[in-house]
Amino acid sequence: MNIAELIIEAKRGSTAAEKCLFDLFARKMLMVCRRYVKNPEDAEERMLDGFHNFFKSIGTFTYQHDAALMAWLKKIMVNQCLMFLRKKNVFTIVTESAAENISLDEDMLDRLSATEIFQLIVQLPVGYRTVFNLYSIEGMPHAEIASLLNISEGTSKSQLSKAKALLQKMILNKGQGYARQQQQ
Amino acid sequence: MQGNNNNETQGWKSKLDGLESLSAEDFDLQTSWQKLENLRVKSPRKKKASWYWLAAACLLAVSGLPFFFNSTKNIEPMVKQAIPVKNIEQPVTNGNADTNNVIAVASSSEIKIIPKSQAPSVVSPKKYETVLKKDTILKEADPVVATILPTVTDTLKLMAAAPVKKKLKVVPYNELVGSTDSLTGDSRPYFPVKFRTKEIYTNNTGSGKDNIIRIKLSSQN
Repeated sequence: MNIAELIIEAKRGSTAAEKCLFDLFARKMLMVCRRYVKNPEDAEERMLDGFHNFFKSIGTFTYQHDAALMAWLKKIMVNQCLMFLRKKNVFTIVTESAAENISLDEDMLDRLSATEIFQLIVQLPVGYRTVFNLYSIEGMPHAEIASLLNISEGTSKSQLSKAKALLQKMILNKGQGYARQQQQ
Repeated sequence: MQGNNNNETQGWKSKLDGLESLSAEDFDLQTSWQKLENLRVKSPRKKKASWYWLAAACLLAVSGLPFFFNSTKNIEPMVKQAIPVKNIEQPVTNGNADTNNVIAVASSSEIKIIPKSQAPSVVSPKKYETVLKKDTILKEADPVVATILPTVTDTLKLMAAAPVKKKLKVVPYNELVGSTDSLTGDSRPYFPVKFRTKEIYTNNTGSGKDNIIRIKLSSQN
């Protein structure tokens, strides 16, 4: 049974089809949630809430292709995580400062594995991490990020530049550490 | 959600999207599905509970409606009763009684009917009570005693039955020339006020014995 058929069955209320869809996407969605919410338990709860909303509103979803389904699921998960972070008031401590135009060396990131990139992103402070995730990974513009997080556009830009700077620094440190390990 | 800011093909992003688990962590799908099932079972219960609460509120509102309407209907009588009729003691005529030969008199909360011939000309409650004390009327007439609570309409009747004050005839002051003083009974000539000469004379001025008032009005102090 392919994804389109699973969606149709799930729309009819089939629990088996829902379970199949959950098994297919739960791990990926958990990783998405963990990029935003550091605590694994909290991230899992957000993922479960996201799937709960997904199954509730599956009747309104029209399946076109797998990528659209993935994008929709990701959007639900990201919204759940942002709601959680907003409730925790993590963005109130973020202050605006002059945004420096720092470019991230993406070649260095490409050389890293998925797990390593993930670990680097998770180590960022919550404000940096959220803006970096939304801008660099989800591809949102600063205006949308600002309205989502209730911050100014300038703050979003400055948070992103600081995140990039910190990531760059962490990648360099990681490279130096790796070089030392190689020398030893 | 893919925006315009990332046009380049970035391998690290696709790597991240494809990441399903960290090597060090073991994610149990079955346990997680059970949690989701529990979450989905709980939420309909909440819905049902909210419906029960809504139904209870509607029931309460519907059951309260008759009380509400009754309370609005009772406002008028309550106002009527609130008028302090108790202290007003006025004569009352009883419509059902034979009014040809008897007269009805109300004393605070009861109407007593007495023969018309023996009733005082102006019946006030106090006078009637004194009459009752003398036991001169009720024993002979064997009256019908009606006990009623005075209402607003009765109060209006009472007011209608109250004796009208006699209007005194207004007589111009100057028409009293030469008449005697009605209060003192003095038969001496009574002089009017002479406004033209700005002098006021009283009937005491002519005798010279008790010359009390003599006022001369003048414009020069």
